Amino acid sequence: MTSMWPQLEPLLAKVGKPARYIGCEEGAQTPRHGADTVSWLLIYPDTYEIGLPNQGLQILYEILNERDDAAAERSYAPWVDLEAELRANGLPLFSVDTHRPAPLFDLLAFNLSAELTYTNLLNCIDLAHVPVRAEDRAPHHPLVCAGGHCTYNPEPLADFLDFVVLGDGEEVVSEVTDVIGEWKASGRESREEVLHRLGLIEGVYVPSMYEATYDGMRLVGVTPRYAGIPEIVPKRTLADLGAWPYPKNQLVPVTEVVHDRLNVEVFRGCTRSCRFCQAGMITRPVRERPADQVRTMVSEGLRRTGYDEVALTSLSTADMSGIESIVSDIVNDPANCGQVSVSLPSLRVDAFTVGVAAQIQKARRTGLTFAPEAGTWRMRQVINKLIREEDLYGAVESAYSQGWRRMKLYFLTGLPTETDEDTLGIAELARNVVNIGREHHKSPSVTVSVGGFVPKPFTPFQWFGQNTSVELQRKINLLRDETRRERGVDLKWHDPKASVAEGIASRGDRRLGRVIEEVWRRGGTFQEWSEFFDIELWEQAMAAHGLDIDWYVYRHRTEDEVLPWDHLSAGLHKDFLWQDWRDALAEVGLEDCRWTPCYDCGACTGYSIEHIVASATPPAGGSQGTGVDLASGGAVPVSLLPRRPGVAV
Amino acid sequence: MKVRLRFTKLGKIRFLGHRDLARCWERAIRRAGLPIAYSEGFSPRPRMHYGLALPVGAESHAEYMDIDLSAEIDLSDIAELLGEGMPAGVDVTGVAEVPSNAEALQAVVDRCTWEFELTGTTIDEVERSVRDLMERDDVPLTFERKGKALTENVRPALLSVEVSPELRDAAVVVVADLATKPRSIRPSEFLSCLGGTFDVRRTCRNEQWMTIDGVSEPPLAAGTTSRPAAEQLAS
Ligand code: SF4
Repeated sequence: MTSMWPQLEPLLAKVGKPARYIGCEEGAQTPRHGADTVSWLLIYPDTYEIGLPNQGLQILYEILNERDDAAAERSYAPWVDLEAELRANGLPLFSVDTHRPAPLFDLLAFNLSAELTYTNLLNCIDLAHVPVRAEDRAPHHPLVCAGGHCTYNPEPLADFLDFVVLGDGEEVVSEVTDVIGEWKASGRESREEVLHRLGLIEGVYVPSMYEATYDGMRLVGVTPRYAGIPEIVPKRTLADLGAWPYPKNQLVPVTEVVHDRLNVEVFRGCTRSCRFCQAGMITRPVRERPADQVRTMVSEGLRRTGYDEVALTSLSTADMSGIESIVSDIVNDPANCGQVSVSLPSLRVDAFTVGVAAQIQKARRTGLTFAPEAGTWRMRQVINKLIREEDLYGAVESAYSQGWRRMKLYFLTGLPTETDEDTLGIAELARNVVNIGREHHKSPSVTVSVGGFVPKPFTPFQWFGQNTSVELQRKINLLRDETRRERGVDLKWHDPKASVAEGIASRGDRRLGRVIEEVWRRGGTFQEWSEFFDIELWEQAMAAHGLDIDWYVYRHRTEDEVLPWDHLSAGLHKDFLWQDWRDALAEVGLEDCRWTPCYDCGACTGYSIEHIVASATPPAGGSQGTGVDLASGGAVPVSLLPRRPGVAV
Repeated sequence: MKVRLRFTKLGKIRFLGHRDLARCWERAIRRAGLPIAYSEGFSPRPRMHYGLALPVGAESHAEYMDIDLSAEIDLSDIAELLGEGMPAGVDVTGVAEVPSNAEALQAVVDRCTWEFELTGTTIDEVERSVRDLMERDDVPLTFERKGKALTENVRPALLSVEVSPELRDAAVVVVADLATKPRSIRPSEFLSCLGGTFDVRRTCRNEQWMTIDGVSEPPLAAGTTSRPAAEQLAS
């Protein structure tokens, strides 16, 4: 049986949103399976609507299918109704491309973008009829691996993953395919043997090849069991994004998904150095896609897909060299099938100019989102999001004057050193934004979205003890009371209890495996979904295994503490991160090394690579991370902020 | 210029809902570069008019849609162009210009021919159920419309029901003509009126019909690629 479609058909007639499971996307590849083909099932462990747009997964899907000796298909977590039907009928997880049963694949490769999907990962392995614990698997079982941002601390999943890939996957998938192809050709005998060989590939981490030792609760270290296995596993980094114009055939789903538009990645990496932001730290350096390649990918993509919206994606798109002309070329290109709107997710307020505002509003006027992240300048200095209030007000002024009415502002609460004054500063900013809006429109509205801060590995805040859920709730209540009577301000917040579960998984060690397994066994799937999230499951599982939430989540770490991810590397020197943490507490900022000299964080220096940016000057307008007005654009003065002690420049 | 399309919805794509299919059409039309007309107003929508909705999960050989174009174009390769932009299973099987005042598809269609494949039963059993059903004058059906339960006699909507003398892949094949006017009956409602136990393996709309001058004909015959008897469609 290589297609489960006949068995699935009657089940799909009984479940909600059956179009999630039919595939049929424009751009779907035709995989060629065969005895000497290495077959990958790429899985996003959440629903199809959330997982389909994932660019990382789509890129690997294309790269693998371009190889003659590989075949890749996709799968997503089936919703609870279909899961029940599959289990009742003894049917496994399947691909949406050809409805091939998951157990027939050589690899199950997960994209891990959020900690709260970990229990779904276990569920998908189990639904694939594969033992959830790596140690229980036999040679005939698929290898289970993962990539994506969460894998920078894979330790909580060490029991379940055969191997993990750190960093950019474009090159390493092929190296992994080679090893597995040889293993298959040689009779596919011992699992240990293939894992050992995989562990020698740069960027591949095989948890079972490492031993974790403890002294009481304290982690002593995670060290290789075998000679030759690297003591520290480095991430992989593409030197040049321009060499990888993927996805070339972005998938166009037949059913509606999130980010349902053409997405073109304009650069990878970010050196704004926001201290809470894991993505910015682990994806360094900045590698811009050549502007002409962006234009070609946009116009070809629009023509091929029929989309009328394109998002230029990156961690901070307004920083792209020449962004204004790229946007205006797209909007004004008559070949782009009529009206096209351009969206720039993750806009920095200090780079949002009237020019950009005018360009992107030409086609369609939806809401605009800005992320000041913190309510006071002091707090923003701590997190190194050095945008001044004037920058924000200037940006919203531009936006309102160009016709936008709805603004969305993102903030974090529970940040290091945060006082109630900082928290209430969020309300103050929101109020001022609404007041600016009133000068342009009758009833402007601002949605203030507040998330509880969860410290992440490989950031300067990795040592910080997370706020308790009680404290987070108190701060949210403060804001709620403050904004209650504020017309035009709509406060939304993330459940602080979910931040606790995220905190457990984010900085946990291998001992968390039992907890995640128990939460899953007791039905705790889809924990990203508020209707299924259940903090009690997590609390009970922690208690059952003698693990303390205080210790794992709320405790400040010390400089000498061995962190569960110390044997992995995102390129960043640990002493750079520690120094940056001290600087944060001292409210000292850090410049953007794209435009100022390198301070040797390690991300380039250790890999002999460097930033690839078309323009050595930052975009005009705002303060560009310097805290002073650079409205004229041009070069950023180098040492505006106190020099960082102890760091060679 | 108003253009009528006839298309299929077969295979996996039968699980796609009406709204999602509409979004596919919008993209396919943009891809094909058709000069679609837009509605007026704050958020202009492309002017596309769909026929009777097809239940999710049902297949069809005969779906229809009218689209308004802002310019006159040659229709000869439109079927192919549009079909390329649509998912597998949706084939454009007919294209023709219709008068700009052609009556809305939803208003002109008065009956549909449905084909069902029933498993877990026998030809004899189904024949008996069909005979029993059609001999009755009163077939009360309780259904919900806008949150209210109503009971109505649906017998007048059951125009004809036939059971095929041969099995198809072990399934009993039933072909039913069900009225859509004045009172319509859904295919699932029809099956619930049919006595006996069975599983429904497949539901397919084989054709839709309208009556012009007492003659029944489809809104657009399959294979049409030019102007139909356009005058007849004018209201
Ligand atoms: S190594 Fe230097 S240039 Fe590269 S990201 Fe780190 S600080 Fe910036």
